Amino acid sequence: MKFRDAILVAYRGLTRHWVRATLNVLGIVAGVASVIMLVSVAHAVGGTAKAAVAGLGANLVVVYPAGASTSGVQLGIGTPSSLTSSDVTALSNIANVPDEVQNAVVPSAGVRQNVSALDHSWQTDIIGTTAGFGIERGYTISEGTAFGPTAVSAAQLTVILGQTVARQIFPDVDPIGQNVLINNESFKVAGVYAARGYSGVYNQDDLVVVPITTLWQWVLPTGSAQIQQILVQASSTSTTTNVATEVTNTLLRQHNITDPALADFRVVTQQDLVASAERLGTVMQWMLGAVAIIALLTGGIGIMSLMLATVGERAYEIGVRRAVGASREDILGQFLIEALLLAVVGGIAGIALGFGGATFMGDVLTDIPAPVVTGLAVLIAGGVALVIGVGAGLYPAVRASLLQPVEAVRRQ
Amino acid sequence: MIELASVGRTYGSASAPVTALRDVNLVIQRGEFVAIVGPSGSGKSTLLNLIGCLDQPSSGRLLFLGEDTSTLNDTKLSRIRNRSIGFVFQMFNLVPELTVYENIELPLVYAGVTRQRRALTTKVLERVGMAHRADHPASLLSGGEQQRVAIARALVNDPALILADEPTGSIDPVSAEQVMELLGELHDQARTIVLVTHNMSVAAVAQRVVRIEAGTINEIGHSPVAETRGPAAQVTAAAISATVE
Ligand SMILES: Nc1ncnc2c1ncn2[C@@H]1O[C@H](COP(=O)(O)OP(=O)(O)O)[C@@H](O)[C@H]1O
Ligand SMILES: [Mg+2]
Repeated sequence: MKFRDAILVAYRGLTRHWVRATLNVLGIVAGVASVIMLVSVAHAVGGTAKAAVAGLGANLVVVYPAGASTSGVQLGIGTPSSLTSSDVTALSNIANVPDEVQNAVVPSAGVRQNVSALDHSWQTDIIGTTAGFGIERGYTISEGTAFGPTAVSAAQLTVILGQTVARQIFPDVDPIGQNVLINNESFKVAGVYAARGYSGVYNQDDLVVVPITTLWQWVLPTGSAQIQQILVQASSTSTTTNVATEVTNTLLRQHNITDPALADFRVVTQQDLVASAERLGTVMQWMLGAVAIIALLTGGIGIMSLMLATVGERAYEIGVRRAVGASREDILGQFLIEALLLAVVGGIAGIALGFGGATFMGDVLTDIPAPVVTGLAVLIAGGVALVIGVGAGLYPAVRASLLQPVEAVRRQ
Repeated sequence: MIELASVGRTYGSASAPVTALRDVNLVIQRGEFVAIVGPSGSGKSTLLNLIGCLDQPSSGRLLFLGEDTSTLNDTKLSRIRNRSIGFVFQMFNLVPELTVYENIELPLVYAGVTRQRRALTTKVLERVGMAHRADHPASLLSGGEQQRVAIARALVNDPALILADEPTGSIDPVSAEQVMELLGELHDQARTIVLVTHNMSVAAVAQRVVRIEAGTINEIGHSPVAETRGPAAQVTAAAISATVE
């Protein structure tokens, strides 16, 4: 039998049983498309998590308070923050921070509250910080002005709005110079940040910024003044580790702690965060990939049972072919090529649908980053389709080839 | 051409065996026209399937052109079925979803014939008078038409041996007549023909009649009609018209 004829025979075998062939193809299409979509979404989400952390700014060292710990046992949430204003001052004196010390060591604290003006109200994050806030992350003032060191030292009632907040409570009015109410105190709007958009699922424009002293004095309940994090920016990537060490040593000295294991704060560098975000992304990709491959395997089993049924139904046809001279290899070949054709058609359609689906998901689900269809996802999905298509086709094909030629006369 | 030496064929499991053939000895010479007759269930089809290498004996030896078929692998047996044997079955056994043309060319496809394929297929298609139905699905034809297509398929590879298992058993008398005429012509062209039937008047066309009963050959006789080959076709036609109802 000529190879070209083998292909034609298989092709005719499929078109003659097009309903079954279509079901088979749909199984593969669904499997392949879901592999591609899931892996793409995972890749995108992982990518944004990484980008979000990277978006924190380069060369950052972040200090978080940790409940005072005794021999490594945390004393729990709700313990007052261990970070103080004098810690901030001490950190500002570290050698290789950039020239603008105010911008480089930035404490902050936040609370979720309503901001209102006239008839509009909006719940958002109220961030209390100092003049340097957001510079390392690329926040810039698009209208009005940022507040300076005096606003902090005098705890002025001044506020800078994120774009989302500005649009929500001042839909028709220029917000600059207007008053907004936070915790029944009247704040003057000094500026508005330029729009930044989403980072992952986090809307970077949904916040307002006030001097940290103002937050303590006018917004938070008395006695709950605290620092939730201090950002220290090193002058370059190569000095980040040194800065982290110096920050740690400085704070240990400040807090009179000799054993670093008992530190009541945590120092994390941006590289640490990027690495864990990357790990998270990879884990997610593998997890979703595994789910999708299970889906594809299930599809493969479906295909196999469909093919086995086919062999039963087509025993007569197989017998006739055997009677007129088809050898076992011819029959094996016919069924394998049929499976291969299904896998190729299903694979290509599935890849196309996966692309389409990923794009569609990117368009519709704005909260989720646009999925990225990677070559690897396509390769994996295509390969799996081929392996499963042919794998599922192999057993039925062997069964078909073992049917005896007398089948032709037996079934009538 | 064919030699069976104490051939037996048993179906079913060892615990519940069904003996379809027992100790069959039979020689079929090249160019012979042999009819195998016997009641239903006597083992005629079983015998023909063995001769046609569709099946293998459970015991004894079957020589096809001098070769013991039990020593041949699947590829060689398939090759024999493909090149040397043309089968005609009672129920035609076409692939219903394929067209008339596609059914007829099947043996050529498996023989790997490409360039000559169209010409050879068309030739036998015309010979059985089915050229006008070439592109029809086989399932839409009448029984008589399907049997002519089946004969065309059996002929397309120009085999030396034609095996026909009750070829007139499921078709109308006029078609049956045409089928018997075709078989007669094929015999005249020096082909060996083995015809299974339970109809004595159909068997009358053959040169030799082998009678089989309960799996054993118990009578071998020469057909009186076959002595006068030539007008045989007409005699047969008359006989069939008289007996096939
Ligand atoms: N595949 C089979 N399995 C079991 N028994 C069979 C099979 N084929 C035929 N037989 C039995 O073998 C005997 C002979 O059958 P067969 O050769 O078809 O007879 P005939 O063609 O003369 O009517 C019958 O009893 C039949 O039931
Ligand atoms: Mg029979």
